[in-house]
Amino acid sequence: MKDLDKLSDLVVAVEPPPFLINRIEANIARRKNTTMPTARAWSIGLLLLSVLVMDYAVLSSKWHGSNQSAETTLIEIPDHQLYHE
Amino acid sequence: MNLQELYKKHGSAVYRLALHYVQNSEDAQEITQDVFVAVFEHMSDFRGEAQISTWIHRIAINKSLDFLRHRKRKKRFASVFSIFTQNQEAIDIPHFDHPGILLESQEEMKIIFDAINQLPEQQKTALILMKLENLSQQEAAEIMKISTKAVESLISRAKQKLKELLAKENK
Repeated sequence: MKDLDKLSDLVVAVEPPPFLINRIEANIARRKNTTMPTARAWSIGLLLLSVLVMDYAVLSSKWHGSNQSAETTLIEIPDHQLYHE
Repeated sequence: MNLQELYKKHGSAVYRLALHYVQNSEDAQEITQDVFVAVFEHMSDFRGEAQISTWIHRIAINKSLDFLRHRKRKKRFASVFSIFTQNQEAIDIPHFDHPGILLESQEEMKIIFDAINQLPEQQKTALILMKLENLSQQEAAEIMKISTKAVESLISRAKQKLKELLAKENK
C-alpha cells in the first residue's frame, strides 16, 4: 500500500481542455441575455401586483363603506327610545 | 481582474481540485464551468478579506460537493426507480477517468480514490487539499475556514479511516 503522505507523487499536473474557457464565456453571455428579460418580467410582475393590491384596497374600502352605511340605515331603534320623550 | 485573467491564473487549480473530487474529466469540466460562472456573477460580493485564490478554492469545493450530493440523490432515486421498472441501466455510475493519474498508477489510485470517496466531506476536503494538492496546513485551514488544529485532526482521522478501508479492500 502506498504511503498516504505521498499521494501527490502519483498525480501529475493537468490542464483543463482549451475549449473550456470558450464554453464558460458563452455560458456567461447566455446568462446575461436571459437575465435582462427576467428582470423586466419581474418589474412588470411587481407593477401588476401593486395595481391589483391597490384595486383590492379601493374595492374593499368601498365594500366596507357600503356595508357601514347599510348598517347605519338598518339600525333598529327600540320602541321605548323611539316614543320616549 | 477580468474573466480571462482569472481563468488563466486559477483555471488549472479549479479543474484539478474538481477532478480529485469527482475523478471524471467531463464532470470536472462541468464543475469548473460552474465555478467560473459563479465567480463572475458574485465578483461584487468578494470583499477582499481573504486572498482571491482562497475564495475561488472555496467556491470550487462547494460546487464539487454539491455536484456529488446531486449525483448521490440521482443514484438513490434511480435505484428506487429500478426496483419498480426492473431497469438496471437506470443506475448511471461514472467511470474512473482522472487524467492527472499516471497510467501505471491508475489501478492503485482507483482503489485509493474509492476509499477517499467514502470519507466524510470535511475529511475528504482536508485530505485532497493537503495530500493531493500539497497545500500547507495554514492554507487548507484558511480555505476551509477552520483552525489549523482542526485540519490536523481531520487529516489524522482521514488517514486512520483510509487505512482501515484499504486494509479491508486488501483482504
